[in-house]
Parts: sequence; C-alpha cells; structure tokens
Amino acid sequence: MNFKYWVFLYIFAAGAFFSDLDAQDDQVVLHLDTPTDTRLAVADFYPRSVATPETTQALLEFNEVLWEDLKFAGYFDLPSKSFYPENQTRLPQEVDFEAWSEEFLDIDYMAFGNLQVYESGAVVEAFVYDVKTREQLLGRRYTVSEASSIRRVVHQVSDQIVFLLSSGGSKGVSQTQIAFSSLKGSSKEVYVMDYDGANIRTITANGGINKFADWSRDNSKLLFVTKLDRRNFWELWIQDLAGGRTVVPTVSSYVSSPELGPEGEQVLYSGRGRGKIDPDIFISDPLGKRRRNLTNHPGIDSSPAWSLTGQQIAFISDRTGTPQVWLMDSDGSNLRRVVKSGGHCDSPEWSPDGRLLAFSWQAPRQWKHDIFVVEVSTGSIRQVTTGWGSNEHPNWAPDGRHLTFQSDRTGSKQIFITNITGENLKQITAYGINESPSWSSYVVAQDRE
Amino acid sequence: MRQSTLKSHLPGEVTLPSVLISLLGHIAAVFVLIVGITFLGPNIVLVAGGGDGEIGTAIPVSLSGEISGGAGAVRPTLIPAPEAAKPPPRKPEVQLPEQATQLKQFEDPKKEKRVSRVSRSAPRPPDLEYSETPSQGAIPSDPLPGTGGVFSEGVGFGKAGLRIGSGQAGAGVASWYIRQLEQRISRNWLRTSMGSLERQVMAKISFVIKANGQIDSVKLVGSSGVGAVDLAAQRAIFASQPLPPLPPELRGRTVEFVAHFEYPPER
Repeated sequence: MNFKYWVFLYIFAAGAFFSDLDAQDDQVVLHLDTPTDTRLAVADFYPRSVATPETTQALLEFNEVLWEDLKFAGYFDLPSKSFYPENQTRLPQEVDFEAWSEEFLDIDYMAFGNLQVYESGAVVEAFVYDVKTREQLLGRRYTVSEASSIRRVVHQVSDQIVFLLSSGGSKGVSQTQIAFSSLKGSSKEVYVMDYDGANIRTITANGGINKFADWSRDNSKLLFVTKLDRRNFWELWIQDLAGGRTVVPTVSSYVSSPELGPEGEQVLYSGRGRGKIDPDIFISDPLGKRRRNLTNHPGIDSSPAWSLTGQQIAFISDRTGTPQVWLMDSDGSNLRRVVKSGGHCDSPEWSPDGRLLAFSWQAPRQWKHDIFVVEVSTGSIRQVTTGWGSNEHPNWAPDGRHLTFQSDRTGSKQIFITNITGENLKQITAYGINESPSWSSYVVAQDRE
Repeated sequence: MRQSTLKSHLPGEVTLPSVLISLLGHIAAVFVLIVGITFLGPNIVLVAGGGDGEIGTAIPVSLSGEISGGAGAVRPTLIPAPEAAKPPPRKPEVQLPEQATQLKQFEDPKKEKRVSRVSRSAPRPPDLEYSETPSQGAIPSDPLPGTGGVFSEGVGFGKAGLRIGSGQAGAGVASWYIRQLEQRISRNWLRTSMGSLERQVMAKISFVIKANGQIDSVKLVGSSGVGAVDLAAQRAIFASQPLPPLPPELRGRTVEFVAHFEYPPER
C-alpha cells in the first residue's frame, strides 16, 4: 500500500516535472549572427514575341553582358546556368516557382525578362522575384531608339538590380566609365571607356603627352597634365567633356598627378617650386590663384589625393629615405605617416567612404609593385593583387568595392578592374599600352535620348 | 583476481540491498521534486496558463483570416512595426532613366487571395516599386540616434549561442530542432541587403511555428534602428518557411520563438 502510493506519487511528480519543462519553453530564443551571401539566378532573357535575327543577336550580347555585370558587382553568388530549369521564363506568369525552388539550386532571387528589337528600336522588360517569398521586386520596361545601344540598357538593368538587392548599398557601377591614357605612336592621349572596356571615346588628340586623368566628382570634367609636342613644359588642363578647356596656371614647368577638389573649387598637384629641385604638393583654385605650397620640404613629395570631404590629403614623400604614404590636413598641418613597413609606395587613393587608402607598394624584398589597401585608422594592410607583373596606379570605383589599376602582367601595360578582395579580376584593355586609369563617379541622369 | 574485481563492478546483479538503496534514492528525488514544485509552482502555472494567453489566442484568430487554399502555402502576416521603428519612406536616390517605365505587378491568380506581406505592412501608393522598401534604411552606415538601448542590450545578451527559455534544464529538450531552425533562417538572412555598419545592432523577430512547420504571427519585437537590418531579418523568417515540423514534445503547445539577429557578426 505504502509502496504503491510512492510509485503513484513518483509518476505524478515526474509528469509534473516534464510538463513544467514545456512550460518554460513557451518562449524559445534563436540566436543568429551569420548572414549569408545572396544567391541570385540570372536567367537568359528571351524574345518577347518573335525570334528575329536582330533580336537573337541583341539577346546574345544582352545575356552575356548582364551576367558579367552582376558577377562583377561582387554582391552575389551566381549559381551556374547549367543548374537552371530548362523552360523559358519571359514573363512573370511563366515563372515555375517549384522548379526554381529546387534545393540544389538554392537561390534567393531570380532575374529574368524579355527583349524584342523593332524597327524603331528595342524594348526590354526585366523582372526580379524573391524565389522564397514569391514576391516581385522589380518589373520595369526599358526602351531604346537604337538596337545598338542595347549595352546601355543592360547596364541600367544591372545597376537597378544591384541597387535593389543591396538595399541601396550601391548604385551599381555598370554605367560608370574609366578614363585612361593610351600610347599612340609617340603621343599619349586620354580616352574614356565603359567600365567593362567597351565603347572607347577619344578625349584628346593633340599629339602631345596627356596623362594622369582625374574625374571631377560630377563626371563633367577631366583634369590631366599635358606636354604638347615640341614643348618642354607640362601644363595642367581641365577638359570639359561637353567642350572647352581651362589651362590652370601652375608654379613651374613641372607638374604631375593632379586632382580636383570635392567641389571642383580647388586643384591639387605635385609641382616643383621656383629655384627648387624637389617637387612639393601645391594647391590652388582652377584659375591658378591662391596658390600655396603645402609641404615645402626638401624631400620629394608627390601623388596627392583628396579625401572625400577634402579635409585630408594623402601623398607620397621620401623624407624618411624611401617613398612612403603620408597624410596631412588640407592646410598642410597634422603630418603623419600611414604605412610604416618600408619598401616603396606610390599613388595613394582614398576610398569613397574615406576609410581606406589604396596604393601601390613595392614591399621590402619584392621586385615589383602590387596593389594594397590600408585601413587609415588602424594601419592594417591587405594585399589586393598577386601574381605576375607589376600592378600600379589604383583608383577606386564609386561603390568602394572595386578598383581599377594598370598592370604589365600580360607583357604590356594594360588596364584591369577587380574587387578589392582580389576576386573577379578582369583585363579591360588589350591593344597598345594603356595606363593611369581613373574611375568616374556614379552616373547621374546622363545618357538620355 | 583481476577478473573478479571487474565483475563485482558489473551491473545486473539485482540484490535486495541494491533495490532498497535504489528505492530510497528515488523517494528522496521525488521529495525534492515535490518541494521544488511547491516553491516554483505558482510561477510556472502563471507562465503556462495566463501569462502568454494572448499569444495562444492570437494564433487561431489570425490564421482563420489567412488560410485561403491557394498553392497550399499559408502566408503569414507581418504585423507592422511601431511607426517609430520605421524610417520615413523616401525616394531612392538613384536617378532612374527617363524612358524606363514601371511595369504593373503581375498577379499570380493563385496568389491573389493570399494576404500579401507588402500590402499589409504599411499603406503605400499602389504603384510604388519594391525597391523603395529596402532603401528605407538607406545606406546604413550610421545607425539612427536613439538605438543605444538596442545596442547595449545586444552586448548584454552575451555570446552563449542559443538560449532556450529560461536556460534551465529544459534546454536539452529540442536543441536539435533549435539548431535546424537557426541554420535554416541563417541561410535566408542575406548580408547583401544590409550593407556595412559601424557597430553591432540587433533585430528581434518573434513568431510562432505551427505543428506542420508553417510560420505565423511574425512580429518585429525589437527594431535594430536600421531599416535594412529589420527588413532583412523579417525576410529571413518569411523565406524560411515551411520550417521543419515541430518536434513531438512541442506539439500542441503555443511556443513563441524569438529570433535575435545580431549584425554585424563579430569577427
């Protein structure tokens, strides 16, 4: 009797105990601290109605460029097209969510659409869907009056997708441009091309040496140094892309690596003061007025670069014996050295957010330059380029995620672009000798027909 | 000699003394349990019964309005966050090409009856495109002022990994299930859509999982102060469904799950 009572009590108590455990579980906390990369499927676009030869031709280019754009954006993990469902998806009604939700594909978003070339131009419809929630995120129609400008539409589509899926973190760099110098016979001329190397346009054709082009922040002007044929002095030119140019009066016959200030109201360059043999950093307004020597030091000071706000200037100085990256305030005060590891540094450039400096560096015991990025606040250095050849003259894309630079890894100097992680390296020029690339700002309300 | 020593330690020899000792031990354990229940009992009853009653009743009510057949997927509603947590909607800064025209959202007839998350989340002009939603948080380089509370809470939360309930003995009950949930939701929590932040923030989303793994009653219970992070967290929950079916020990109960999204991750 007594024993039975205890057994009963035991079972009862155990039941109470376990049900109490459940009661405590009424709120369960999940702890998440590792977000993943976005997996995006970029399906081929298909003809909207009829696969005319022109449409098919345009689609070939469209699909290839869109893929390259989105891959280079560096935001997405793009699973190979060979894993995609086979049926064509041209319109939202045709999306087979079951097929696109296959586990081996494991995508978050998909982009698809259609294109049709007409006599009067071309029409592109682009869509983006969240495959998991089945929501439409983008549905947009683009029209162009000439089928030949289909490339520009692709870049618009790509930038729109990047903007959308990065929550505005980037506006996309597909519509940006890169200015550079190219050797033509005995002259070097300035050219501008799309960020992917297509669509090269001539900016100068004066038969002289034109180099170190730098964009104004509104993309309307290019600043560069020029030594015209049969002259023995360098000039500082501001070329308005809409036509017209200004020659900035400088301190002497030597001027190099110019930069326009954030508002375009000041010019920064490396020049040699009167009666001096070493270059210093000078600042003046575009008319050459209010000129000041910011460094005024017996060492060689060169390659000045404005920070985003214009309050800080990075430059190269050999005052400690070898060329190193230094910082100063825009009035020449508060001098300090950034890279403390020796070697030879060159051409520092501020990232758009002002956090990092990209520069080329021939590290101690190295025989060539590579591109490095240093975090200004901590001095921690990360290597961007590796491998064969010397890599120099880095310049940031406006999203702060990409760099362009020149490299002779293929035998002659050519322009390359890459993510700052070193991934997605692409050579974008192939002929002649091309150097000193400069990436434009985001494209603002340009390219309208 | 050696073998017999070993043998004496082997289990299986049921003798009267061992039974008695076992019995006494069990009785002692039961006594401890009873005493424990006597002291803790009222609190537990409060939690299980009345305290969370609101959640318990909320589920069937909100569900009945939502199940609409459709493709078999039950769309959970997003109960809008407090207005204060939402940055004011504004136009994206990107300049859209002039010739680009907004296409009308194509309606999937199957989807039509479902309650759309977007349509519920906030009153918006009909032809706004989705891109405005993620851009609400703007480029989240500078968390809004006044998020200090969230931030300090995040620090205080500690790095104990998952925490279940009150962190008591019940932790082992469904930890495998918790891990599955965390993996699934992490997979749908996209770094891309949040950008980089200067400091750590945390968004808290509460939801309920039904026996078949469907998600319900999704609420933003703690805003990170950064719109993009809140939205990414909400999407992670919605995109993860259906979740693995509830384990047997949790069935029949209304369990509220609270996902703590800490961003950026510590490096």
